[in-house]
Amino acid sequence: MKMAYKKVIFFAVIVCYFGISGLVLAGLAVHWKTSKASPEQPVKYSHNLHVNTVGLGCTDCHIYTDKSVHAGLPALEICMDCHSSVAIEKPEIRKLLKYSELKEQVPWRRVYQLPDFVYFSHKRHVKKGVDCSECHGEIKAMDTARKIGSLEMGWCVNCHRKMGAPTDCVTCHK
Amino acid sequence: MNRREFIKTTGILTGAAFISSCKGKEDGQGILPGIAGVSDGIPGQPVLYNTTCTECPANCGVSVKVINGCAVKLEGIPGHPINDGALCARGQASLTRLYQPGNNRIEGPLAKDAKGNSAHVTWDEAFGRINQKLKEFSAKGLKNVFLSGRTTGSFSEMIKLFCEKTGVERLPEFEVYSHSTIRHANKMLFGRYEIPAYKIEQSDFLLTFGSDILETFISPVHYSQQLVNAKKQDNFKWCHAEPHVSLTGARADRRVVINPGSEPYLLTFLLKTVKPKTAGLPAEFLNALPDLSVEQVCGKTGITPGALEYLSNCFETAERPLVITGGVSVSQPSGLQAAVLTGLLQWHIGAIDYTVSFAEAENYANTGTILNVKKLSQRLADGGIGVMFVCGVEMPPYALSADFYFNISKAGLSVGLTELKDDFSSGYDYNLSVAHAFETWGDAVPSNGLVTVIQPAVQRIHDSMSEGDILSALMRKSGVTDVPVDFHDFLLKQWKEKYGDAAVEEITSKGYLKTAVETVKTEINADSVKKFLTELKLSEPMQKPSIIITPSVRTYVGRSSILSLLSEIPDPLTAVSYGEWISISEKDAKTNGMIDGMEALIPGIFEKSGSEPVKIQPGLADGIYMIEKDAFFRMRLRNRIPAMLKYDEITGEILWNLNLVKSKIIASGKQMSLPVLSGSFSEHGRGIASGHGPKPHKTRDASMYPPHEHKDYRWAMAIDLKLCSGCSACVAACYIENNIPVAGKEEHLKGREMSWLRIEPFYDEKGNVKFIPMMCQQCDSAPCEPVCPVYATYHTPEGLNAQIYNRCVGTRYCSNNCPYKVRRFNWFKHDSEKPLDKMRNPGVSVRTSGMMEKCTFCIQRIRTAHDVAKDENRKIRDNEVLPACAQTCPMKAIAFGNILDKNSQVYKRASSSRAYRVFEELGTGPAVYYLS
Repeated sequence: MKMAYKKVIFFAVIVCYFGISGLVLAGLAVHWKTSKASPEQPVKYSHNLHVNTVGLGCTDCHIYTDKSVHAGLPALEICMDCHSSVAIEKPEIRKLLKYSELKEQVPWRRVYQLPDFVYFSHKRHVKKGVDCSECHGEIKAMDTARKIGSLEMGWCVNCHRKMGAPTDCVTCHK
Repeated sequence: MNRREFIKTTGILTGAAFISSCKGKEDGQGILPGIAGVSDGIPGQPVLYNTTCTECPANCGVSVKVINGCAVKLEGIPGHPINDGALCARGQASLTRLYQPGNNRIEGPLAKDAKGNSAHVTWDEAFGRINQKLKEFSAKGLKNVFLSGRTTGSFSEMIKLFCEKTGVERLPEFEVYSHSTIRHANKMLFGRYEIPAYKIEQSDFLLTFGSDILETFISPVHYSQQLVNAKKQDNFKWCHAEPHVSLTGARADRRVVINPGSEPYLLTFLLKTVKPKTAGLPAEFLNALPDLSVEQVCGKTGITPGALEYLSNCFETAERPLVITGGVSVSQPSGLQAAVLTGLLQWHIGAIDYTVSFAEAENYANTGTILNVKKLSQRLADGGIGVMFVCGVEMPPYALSADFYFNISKAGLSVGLTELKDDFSSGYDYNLSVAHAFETWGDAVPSNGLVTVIQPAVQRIHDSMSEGDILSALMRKSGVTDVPVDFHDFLLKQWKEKYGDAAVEEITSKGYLKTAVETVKTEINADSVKKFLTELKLSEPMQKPSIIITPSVRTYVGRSSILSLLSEIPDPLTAVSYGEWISISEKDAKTNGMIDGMEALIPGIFEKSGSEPVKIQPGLADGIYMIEKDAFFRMRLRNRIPAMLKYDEITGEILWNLNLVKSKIIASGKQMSLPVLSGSFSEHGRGIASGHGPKPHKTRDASMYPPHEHKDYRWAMAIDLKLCSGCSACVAACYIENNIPVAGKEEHLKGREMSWLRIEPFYDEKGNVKFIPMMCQQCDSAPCEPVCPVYATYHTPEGLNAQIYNRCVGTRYCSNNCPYKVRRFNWFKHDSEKPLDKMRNPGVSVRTSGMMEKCTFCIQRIRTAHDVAKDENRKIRDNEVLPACAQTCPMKAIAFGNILDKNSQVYKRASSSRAYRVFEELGTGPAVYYLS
């Protein structure tokens, strides 16, 4: 009886131990994933405001979408085209002006990042008529840019299959 | 493990996991370098800048491919009059010069303090001090001097201006290959101290003596291209006479081995016997030449009567023959005789002003010889030199002129304009950091009638200035005002003045400008010919054994040896990658009981134990020991050998052929490590490079697998082995294009090289060599594919044998099953030192440890071509996509394309009767065809 009691305690300790560590690890993973999905930006930029209130289109700032593999994070000069005179009193825009004074680019953090071994061309997808929201979701309505598409292989291939796009490995693996 | 230990261990491990996970992953979250705000071009898209290669004096045109602000690849400019799109191995590797790690490059101006330590100073401090010293020394009556390596074009004008304005004496420039014997002979015969342009493509018979036209001689890529064009004529013949073994000799239609120093005998015999198609030399000249019988010539030169007859026949049938003498044939005591006799023969056969053109002469106008350095050394020793500027003099230190090396410190102030650190730079009082040619403006005039531009392709990495800017800043700081503000300004003025306003646009966009050349009617100087002939006493050939110090296709004269990529690529003749070696003949090896890698001693030269290994060189004459120049210098430095190289006192030519009268090679009996990357020099009857392998078995037709269907494209390659010279330019291009790591000597010794493409030398019993570029054969029934347990390697619909790197788990089954041995395994992660990582081609992923990698016909280029073709809604055109190897080949030996297209170049070549595939009998169905 005594032995059985000891055994129960022992297993309970083991289960608690692994249970708690598992929970903590899972929590950390979730936190890590969400923080990665929506990293804090040096300047609080709202897609929602620029698209829905101001009325800008995606390619007004991401100017290389149909020209290159990269869509292009807008250079500071593009921001300054408007913000040298628009809303210059707002604290976030002041930050922007500071970068401009220092002649530095804004160190935007990437929301979407593909591994080094993947070839992906914005140009090919845009020219085919794939809408930005297919991968980037309703980014137009977001105040803080957040990763929507998982960018995992299965996610890519699903769409490729649906659209009849090539699924040969070397189409994307480089 | 008991319970307590188990709990303890688990506790520690979990704790460790928490701690490490707290750190978080930061990499990859930042912005891509240059993705926002690249100054020019579109992020991710290449921009090409046309400029000039400065790795050797040939000055080929290169376009620098810049992606996201980083230079990732060099390619020859298509249509360029020198290299027409091609580039040699040194040219390809020269990109690593730009991105040399910080400890090799000078990162800012340095000054030596009283204790002799170098410290960073500002430019203003350096300029102020130098200007002050310039004035101080001239007031004292000392001479300030300017010594530079070979310069041409506007920079040469800038030096002239600088010297005029500041009262500095400009010295003749120093270039190791000054070709002074040839220039001296031409001065004597034709009154021109010049190297003419050799028009190989206009000749139908070429006879070369010692001149390594495919390796380092004047403009190797240009000569390669000309040979390709010349070979298009059916009756073109090329005979190469040399005392040793070279790539050039290996590629010639016929290689004739002659005794070192016996060239004058053969040339005299030819002068006497060749019947010219034109007027030829006057009879009085010919009669003044000594009469030689066939036996005498064969006795002295060591060639067979058959070879002599072959030469006579070639001259007989040729309409437009051409003779070139240079390289090892002029760097010996009888070199001047050989060069003058060659000049006479060129005149005799009517080559002068036709295939030997002084109108388009090579530009060596400011180049002096080693004798000038000797003189300077004496002046330094006498204490007559104030400030000495040394700019771009890349001389193997100590080895050529040890006294100069030691006398540098005797200058009042030595100022080096230095790009990469060398043994000299540590001796200068000031080192002014010079920017790389791809970071600055400039121009070059490689020969009459051609100007090439040097323009910045990337932003400067270090605190450096161009040589021209340094000189103009020095002038302005010293108070001279009537000079251009900077070198770019000076350049524009020069171009406008010389070539007109319109030319500026052309020169910067195209990268070069052809200018008018005056027609030249060359006259022969009868008096000096007479004088030469009356004094002529043919000098005796050199005694054997002799050491022949050869130029190197990999390191030129040692200048390129700092680029580690070139040591990673094996020497094509011996397949040795790293280190030094002495090549000896098979018979010499046998008599001394030597095998490859055994330590050799040459009493009086290399006698310290632990010195040099030997490598048996098939085809090498007995009693000839071959050492590459670069290796020789390093060996000499290690063995501390006193001055040994001699100079011709008249011409100033360095005598690279050493006579060993009383000495010969002996074995020490010790075995050394020599990384030989070739398993065997013999084909073992498998016809790898000769195409006469076993016939395929009929039963092989049956296959377990269904045949592959190729709908639109089946990529294939066809390599003409009659053109391939083994120069290894393709290998260098492949390394850079595909981010292939440099593994190093230790790895090579373990057989772990990383090259996707290799040049394999195969020798026959007579010592003749055939080179075969070997890369993944993209087999139709690839033996590697079915053995991969994770489907990481597979056959693409376009016929490629693709390798999905991140899928690979590193079982290495594929490599074991590959009959061609072209798969490379990453035993380690090879990180490239900063800033060499800037060269990374973003189109190819970087492989990490545990991955198998290999050639896929530059699939990234095929992908780009697909992208462009899709935009224009068409198929990929023939020759639109060229892998890096095919693109750079100076001999245009590699054709690539879609073999399903019956009009493609590759289809035509593959259906030639010469075409074969390696190991066809195995039924692998390779997509690489070789033309034997």
